[in-house]
Amino acid sequence: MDSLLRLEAVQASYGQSRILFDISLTIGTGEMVGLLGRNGMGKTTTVRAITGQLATTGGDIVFKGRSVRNLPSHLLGRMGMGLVPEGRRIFPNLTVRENLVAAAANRSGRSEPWTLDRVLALFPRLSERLGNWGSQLSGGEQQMLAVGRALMINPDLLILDEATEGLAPIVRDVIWNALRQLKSEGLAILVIDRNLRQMMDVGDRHHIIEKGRTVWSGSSAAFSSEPTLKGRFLSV
Amino acid sequence: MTDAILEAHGLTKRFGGLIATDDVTLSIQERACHALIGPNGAGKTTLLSQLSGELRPSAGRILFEGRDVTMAGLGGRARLGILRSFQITSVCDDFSVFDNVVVACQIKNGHGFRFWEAPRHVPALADAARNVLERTGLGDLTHVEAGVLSHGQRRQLELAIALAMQPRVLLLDEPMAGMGPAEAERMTELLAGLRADYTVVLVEHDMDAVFRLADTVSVLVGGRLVASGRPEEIKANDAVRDAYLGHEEEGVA
Amino acid sequence: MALPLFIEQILNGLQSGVMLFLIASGLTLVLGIMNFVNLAHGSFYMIGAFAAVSFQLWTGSFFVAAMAACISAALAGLVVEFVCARRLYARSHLDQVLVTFGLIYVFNESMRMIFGPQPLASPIPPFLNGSLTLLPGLQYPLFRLTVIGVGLVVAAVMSYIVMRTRLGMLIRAGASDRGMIAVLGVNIRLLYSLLFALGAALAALAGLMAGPLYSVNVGMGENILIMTLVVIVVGGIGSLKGAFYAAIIIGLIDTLGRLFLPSAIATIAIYIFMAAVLFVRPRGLFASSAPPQVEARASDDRVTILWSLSKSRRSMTAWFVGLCMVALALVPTLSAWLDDPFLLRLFLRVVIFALMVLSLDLVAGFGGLVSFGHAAFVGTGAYAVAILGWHVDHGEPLLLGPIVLAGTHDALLAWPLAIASAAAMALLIGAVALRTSGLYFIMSTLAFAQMLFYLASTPNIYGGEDGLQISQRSTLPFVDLGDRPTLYYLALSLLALCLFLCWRLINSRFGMIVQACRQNERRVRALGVRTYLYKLLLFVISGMIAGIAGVLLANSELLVSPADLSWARSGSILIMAIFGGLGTLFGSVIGAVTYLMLEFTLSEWTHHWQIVFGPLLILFVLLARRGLFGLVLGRGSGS
Repeated sequence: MDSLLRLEAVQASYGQSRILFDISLTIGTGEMVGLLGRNGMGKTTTVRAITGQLATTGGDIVFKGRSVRNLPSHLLGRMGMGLVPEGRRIFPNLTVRENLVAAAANRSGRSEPWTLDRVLALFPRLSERLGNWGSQLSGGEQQMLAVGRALMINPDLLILDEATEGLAPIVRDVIWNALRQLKSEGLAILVIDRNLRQMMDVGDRHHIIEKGRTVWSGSSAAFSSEPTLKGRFLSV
Repeated sequence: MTDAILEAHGLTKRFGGLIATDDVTLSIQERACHALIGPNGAGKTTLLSQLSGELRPSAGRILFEGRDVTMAGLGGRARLGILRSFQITSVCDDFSVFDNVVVACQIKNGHGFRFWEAPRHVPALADAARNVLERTGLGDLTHVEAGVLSHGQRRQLELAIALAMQPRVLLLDEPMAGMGPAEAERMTELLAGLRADYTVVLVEHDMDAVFRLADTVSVLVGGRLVASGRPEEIKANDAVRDAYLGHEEEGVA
Repeated sequence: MALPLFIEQILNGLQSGVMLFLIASGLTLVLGIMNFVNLAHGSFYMIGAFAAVSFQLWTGSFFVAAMAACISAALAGLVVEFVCARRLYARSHLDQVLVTFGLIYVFNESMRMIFGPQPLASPIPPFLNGSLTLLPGLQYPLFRLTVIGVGLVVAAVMSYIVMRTRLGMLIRAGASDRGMIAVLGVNIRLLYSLLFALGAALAALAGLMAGPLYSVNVGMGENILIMTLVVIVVGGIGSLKGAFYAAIIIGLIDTLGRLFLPSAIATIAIYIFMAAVLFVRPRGLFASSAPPQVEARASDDRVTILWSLSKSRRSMTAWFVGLCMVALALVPTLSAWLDDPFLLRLFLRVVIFALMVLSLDLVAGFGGLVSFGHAAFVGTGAYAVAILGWHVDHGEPLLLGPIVLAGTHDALLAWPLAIASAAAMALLIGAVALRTSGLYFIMSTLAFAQMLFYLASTPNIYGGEDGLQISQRSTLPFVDLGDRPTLYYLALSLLALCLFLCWRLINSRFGMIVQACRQNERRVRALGVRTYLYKLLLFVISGMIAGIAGVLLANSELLVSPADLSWARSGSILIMAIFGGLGTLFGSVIGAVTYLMLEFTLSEWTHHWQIVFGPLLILFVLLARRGLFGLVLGRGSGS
């Protein structure tokens, strides 16, 4: 299968403590893949490893057919990874508009690139806030801005770490609708979220991570047909 | 309520427009383990930080043994006996495990403006430290430099430092975070051993541990306290389940 | 006062303010965004001035010279960034301070080699000569007006770039979250290099304009650097707006102060202002509201912990220390035997400097408080001895408020007084500086020491710039300090005593808390300890030891001068501490021996010894991180 991103037995640690033992996953072009698992099982660490924010100690990461393991994160960004990080990491001292345009780029020369207008059309709420500082936004607005900011670099793969965490139900729907639309436009998406129904609804395939290992991989349908999975790996 | 050692009344904390803690009222019973659970971003750590004095609430009061301690800072509350452990382990890396604990014993023992005798050679302090180390399962690692400990051992040391202060209330922020299963199990054992002697407020994601340790469980969602009760009640409470899991019938991913 | 004169002075203040801003703007951006302390930033200012003079002589065109000056400084900046700074972004501020200190040696010495030691004259370009009548009775030099104009234009352009352009957005974004901006595909390293070069070019611009106003000489960079650091600390690290307003305020205070205030106070007015600002707002006037993304990194990576070494190592260490002390005790005998009095002089100096380094190691190595102004306490002790002696020699009583002292040469009276003055000075400076931390601490200690330096340098009854001669060594009953070996034995005994007391101190309850603070102050505070008091007391104790060193220095040299208070002195003490290994106590002796022997050997070999010493220092910091004493002991303990 021609995968856009492939992780093969990736290992990583924070100083003394080893966090990732054996993470393997794939994302195909135009596919939405979910990363599932309880808190503290290594999902965010996996994302950090993929985006070059954490050095890996073993395994391989292949993006667009090229091994990108331990490449600096700005090169990965240039190659087409767009990240919506956990905690959003909006630049508080930049306005909403500046957050969007600061790093904007269309390196792959896309014919219909993401522009400020397109992002505002996707999240109309942001157009009222263009002149506000990043620090003045609500959590939902911040998340929309983080998604918009990632889109403005015209990525081939969008990675969302906790897509709707801590957001009101209405705002969650806004984000999920946007993701649905992005997927329909052919963008590959790797998403972490606790909203299982939406994940199964929109996502194509999923990987479950348990204690730093990929323990299960399969389609939404396969997940639903194995009711014990939820109890074993995901429930409280 | 009787026997409440630490109480929060109408605690509210705002960060700009964000309400991180929303009118939380709870009371912590003496010599019991009170767990705070809830999804990420529910405001558990923020609440804990207000109880410990690290953050000042925007509104509401905190009572310790009936005394208003809302305005006391982290250090002030530590002197009263409210001690917290940190999510990010913070021990003194250059010190030996023993010295880490001895310093805490010494702080408990009085001011540090004494300039001659090494506390590790003061029998009372050394004994107290050894005692705590035995109790926290670090008896074999006394002379190891803290910087080379494994993650789990560091968390144990963190706990030991807090215990050395002979706390009245122990606030533990995710003591099991980042631990392997064996380490988590050992930590759970340790905490179970403390339950009879200490008042513990526990923020933890490991539900096995929470339901094994807690006498009372409080559930936070979006900064609000949605339920508080005995573990069985919480497990059975549908409203809690829904709220905690998101909405409708969904698992925690 | 006449209004025209007043306006003229305001304009002068403005002119010196905008020049400060030109230098500060680059430095504050580098500091705020890359978290990099570049003490060699003043060198770009010097390079700019020298380059402008020589290009002007060569081409005859002021504009070409100006362009060439900015470009050469930018290139120098790129080289510095590429060769040194890049390797240091992730290292402690202390490492950065030392490496850039080494760079200053290199730059200063190479300028001296190229242009000679004489100051150069830089002519005002003809078309800017003359003056303008601004008001009736107010003539103002055209060149100074131009400087003000250029400075304001640069400020406006900078502010436009930072607030309005893509580049500026990236700069601001990088200041708040470096990692995130990289994830978005921005090559943050390239941005850093660019900023570095831009900062250097701006400093050069200030330098080339300073040429005609002041003189062009080696060392001009350091004087302005200290002022610049004051500007940055007052304005708030990383804030361009802060740098601008602070520069103007400092420029005005400095200029108007000279007009209205008594000269002794005028020279230190800006430092008093800085102290006041730091006391009220420890992070400067315009510190960015965003939380600092990287907390100041302490120097703990190089700390060797003696007592956690294994038993065999510990006894080896004891043997080593013992042997060294015995060897030091044999120096006078050896010196007499070889008939080489210089050997004794050199080692007297070594012992005295070892005391200074020990006092610094106590705060920096064990308390994690990197003081860059430790010479202040040494100098205070030395000056106290000298001043007490001067008063008894001149028969003039010394008035300290209500207290009248006759002055004395008696060691039993003078020395405790001198040590107490050093302690009091440490208490004063520490009380303000310890309200800050990290970089602000380093810089405020530096600035306070500089304040004392200027105070001592202003013309006063105690010799001002020339220093103060001491007529005789202090007198002690039964002991004749006039005899050099006796003084040496006394100094050595004091060193041994201080080493022992410090060793007890750091292991005591007090010392354990102080050390715990270095490693994890937040933790210690969380346990209910008022850490400020502990750190302050440590600082005072350190000041006392430095005071002892000062007393001995005065007695050995029989001359005290502002150089004893200078930041170059503070820097060399710090370097010795690093050479020996911070947090080792005895490393102070090793460091002092190494540094002074090296200085002696190199200066015998070549007049331009600093050109060798600078790179050695840089290499040492980049490669050997644990100090020589650490090397002697081998790797510390482990499990």
